[in-house]
Amino acid sequence: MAQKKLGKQTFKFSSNPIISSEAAVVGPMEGKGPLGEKYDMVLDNTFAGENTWEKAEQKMMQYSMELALEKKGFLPSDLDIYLAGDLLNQIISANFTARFLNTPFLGLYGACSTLIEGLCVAGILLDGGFVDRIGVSASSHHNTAERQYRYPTEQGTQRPMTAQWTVTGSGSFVVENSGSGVILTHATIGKINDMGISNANDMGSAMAPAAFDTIKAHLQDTGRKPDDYDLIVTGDLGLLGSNVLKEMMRREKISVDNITDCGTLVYSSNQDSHSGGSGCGCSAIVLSSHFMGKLLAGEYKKIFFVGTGALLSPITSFQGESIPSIAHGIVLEYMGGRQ
Amino acid sequence: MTEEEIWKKIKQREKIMSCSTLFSNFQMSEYQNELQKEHQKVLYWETKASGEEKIRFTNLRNEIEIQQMLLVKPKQEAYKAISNRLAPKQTVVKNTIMAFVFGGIICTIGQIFNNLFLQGGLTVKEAATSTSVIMISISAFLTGLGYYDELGKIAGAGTIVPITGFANSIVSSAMEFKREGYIYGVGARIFTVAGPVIVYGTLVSIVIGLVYYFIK
Amino acid sequence: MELLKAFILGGFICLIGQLLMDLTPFNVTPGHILVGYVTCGAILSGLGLYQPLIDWGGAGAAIPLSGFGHSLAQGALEGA
Repeated sequence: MAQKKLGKQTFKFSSNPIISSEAAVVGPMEGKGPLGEKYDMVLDNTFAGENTWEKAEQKMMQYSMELALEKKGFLPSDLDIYLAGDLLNQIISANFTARFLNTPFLGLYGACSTLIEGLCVAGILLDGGFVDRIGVSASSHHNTAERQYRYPTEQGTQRPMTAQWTVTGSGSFVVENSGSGVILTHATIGKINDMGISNANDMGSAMAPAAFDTIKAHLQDTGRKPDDYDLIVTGDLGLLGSNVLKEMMRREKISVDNITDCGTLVYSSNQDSHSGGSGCGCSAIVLSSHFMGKLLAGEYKKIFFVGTGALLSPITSFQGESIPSIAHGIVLEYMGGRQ
Repeated sequence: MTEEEIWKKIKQREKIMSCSTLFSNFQMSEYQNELQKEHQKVLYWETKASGEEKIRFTNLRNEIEIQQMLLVKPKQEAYKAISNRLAPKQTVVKNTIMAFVFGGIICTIGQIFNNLFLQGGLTVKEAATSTSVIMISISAFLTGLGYYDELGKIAGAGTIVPITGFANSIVSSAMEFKREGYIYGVGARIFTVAGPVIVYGTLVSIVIGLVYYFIK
Repeated sequence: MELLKAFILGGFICLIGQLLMDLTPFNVTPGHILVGYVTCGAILSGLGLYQPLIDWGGAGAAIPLSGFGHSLAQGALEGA
């Protein structure tokens, strides 16, 4: 009988996996957004000195991991395992960054929920006593995503109001099994939800049911209420997705007062992102720069962070398939210490 | 569970599903579990059977799969209704006006060039061709400079429908995929967006030509 | 006067395109609409209905993609 499992989908960590350090490297548009000051590095342009966007994205992920290591005086060889993922086919940004770091590597794919998936797996490996120190990264890049999923970037198309803008950014974390600061206490692993939404320009609606399902499962498994948390943060539901989620929660009489979304925080309304930001990088950069800052300052004590991912491919879209989605959740608590 | 019992259950559920549309979550997961158990059983029997028996099991399996799909439909419809209600509205009126204005401007510019060419002494046909060439070149130039997509955001169909939009899609594809090399990048993918227009335009014209030939 | 006719006809043809883009469900993409334009242009041309539009509106009918379909069809008809 598994001793650390609560209910159907949640794991409770008995030791305290700690987030020791974090860093975010972002593109120019994100740097001009409301959280611009908080990122560690803002690139001048989307190419980052490389000749393709794919190389730029890999560089961003690498730099963000290096910065996270440097803040604590670590080297890549100090990491026992590296967990990373991104949006591209065969997760090339993660693979090539792992090549650079030369550490044991597990690649992850959860679309935009990849970072939280990584933190969940990191918590499990640390709490299980398998490793002492793990690196977790996730990245996305607007142009690499557009090339792969949609149209050439210079093409004059009109995006609908429900569309979201893929964030150009990468967030990395060093997670250890001892220390002080922000700990991971619970991980809730999501199940795939598919409500038959096939519009690739409306991923918020596709992902909201998964977020709802995971939040409900978590509250049920832990016996907690939404008010037990200072905030419940979703990864990138965007404006429409967040509204749909709140509607679904209201119908089940679950309080929605403390729900917010990274996709709505990353861009200001005059940046023409329509329904907000999306992509693996979205939750990664907002958590590492904004929410970690708030937790370490003691402004928030307990956050339930739900990464949401739309698991479609360009081919399934053309074949008329609907978009299956998933959401993973992790509880972050500030235990005092690292300022 | 026997084959007859499973058929009976399917008929029972079919009746219930045709009467009421929305089930409670509890009922839904009960049915889903039942269907899953039955599906696995029948699938297993199917692999072990042969001949007529196998066909029977295949039909039964198909029935179960249909019911599995129908079971979630009402919930999906109800969800889509929520999503549609909360979705931001497209600014149709503004888009339409912009499309009219920009489309009109582009065609007017084309007309001006056409008149200039005619004045310059070209025949009607030559002038028309030259106009197309000039418009396409301008569009390619603007695409290369990165202005065409900014224009497209505002103008919508106003820049997509004219032949300039066609040129834009080819040039933007060429620019985009240059990074994968000239053969597999540019060469293979330059017509990713414009291809269907060329294929179907040519196809329909061939058909028209053939029809005309036989009617004549 | 010619320029005004070109403006009106060209704008109108694009307006129809915009309405099609905005009012149809999401799986009718601009790609579908452009293919529709070129084939309609070709068919109308074959029926002899597109030339009057060109005679009236000039570039207003020639520049949009339906005009391209018209040229393709005219080429096929000349060859036949």
